[in-house]
Amino acid sequence: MTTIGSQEKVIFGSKVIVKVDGDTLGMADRYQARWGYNISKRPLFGGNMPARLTGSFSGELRVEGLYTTDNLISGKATPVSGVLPSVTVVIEETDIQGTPVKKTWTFTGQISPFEKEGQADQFVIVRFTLDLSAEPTPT
Amino acid sequence: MPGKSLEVQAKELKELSEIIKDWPKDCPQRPRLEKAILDVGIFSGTGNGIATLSSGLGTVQLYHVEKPRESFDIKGGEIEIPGKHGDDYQYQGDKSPRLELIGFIDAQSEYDAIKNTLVTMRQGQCANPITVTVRFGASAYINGVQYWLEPFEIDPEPGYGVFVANYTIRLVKRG
Repeated sequence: MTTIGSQEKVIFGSKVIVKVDGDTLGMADRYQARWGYNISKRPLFGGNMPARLTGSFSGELRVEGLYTTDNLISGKATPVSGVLPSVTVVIEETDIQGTPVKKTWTFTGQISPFEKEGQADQFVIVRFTLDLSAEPTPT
Repeated sequence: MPGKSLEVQAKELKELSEIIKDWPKDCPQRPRLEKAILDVGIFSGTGNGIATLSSGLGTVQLYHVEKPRESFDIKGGEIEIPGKHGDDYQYQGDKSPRLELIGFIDAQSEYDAIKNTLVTMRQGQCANPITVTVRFGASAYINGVQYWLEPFEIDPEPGYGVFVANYTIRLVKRG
């Protein structure tokens, strides 16, 4: 049996870098990824237990942060010749070991939707969802 | 298998093992023994599919039957009489009961069995009647009944990494 994790292998938020098509998002402060394969449960005649079929892949990465006047992300949510462009988001996570270990997660997909939110007494917020076209790959 | 003697449990385990052994190896739903013990009702000691079609030319086991739909039509006569509202209707007898086996496959071996073996069985069904058994759990409520095999369809489903296809197999009871 293996012990998964230790005090030094945890990743603190300040040790995370989010890059969108190579550009570093300086003010990203939250991200959430989820992906998986739909499990299709099909009931059978004469039994309570359904057959379980592994269905098609779906996943998304949501990134939230402070909006800046660089205005680089909204353009990636616009179709080019009628097609939403493929966007690559790389998340670099570094632990706090003596010799830090960096894990890079690569997410590929299309941005939809792009969200922007403001309020009179608050910073402007940007959010976008990357609809994943493949399983993310850690390296 | 609570409440059963060790001898009975051993016998049932042996039967389940033999049933599972006959499932197609490429079928992702091929149960493990522990699942079979928990859901023993879906198995039968006399075969391993929910529905079985067999003749002298082959046997096809259907493991994932969703709806074995039966219909019992009648022969009726309608006579229209001018000046009278409604028709005169006469019951003239029963038509042959029909059976539609609706379900799905999730392995190419099941596809091959349905497509190739059933066609062969259908071509020779005059001399080699097709016998159908359908089980509800271990109860074969349609047990060894002869049917004519009519047109059947295989309708592949997108979005799966294994060979998933729906089928509808139509049968008419032999007179």
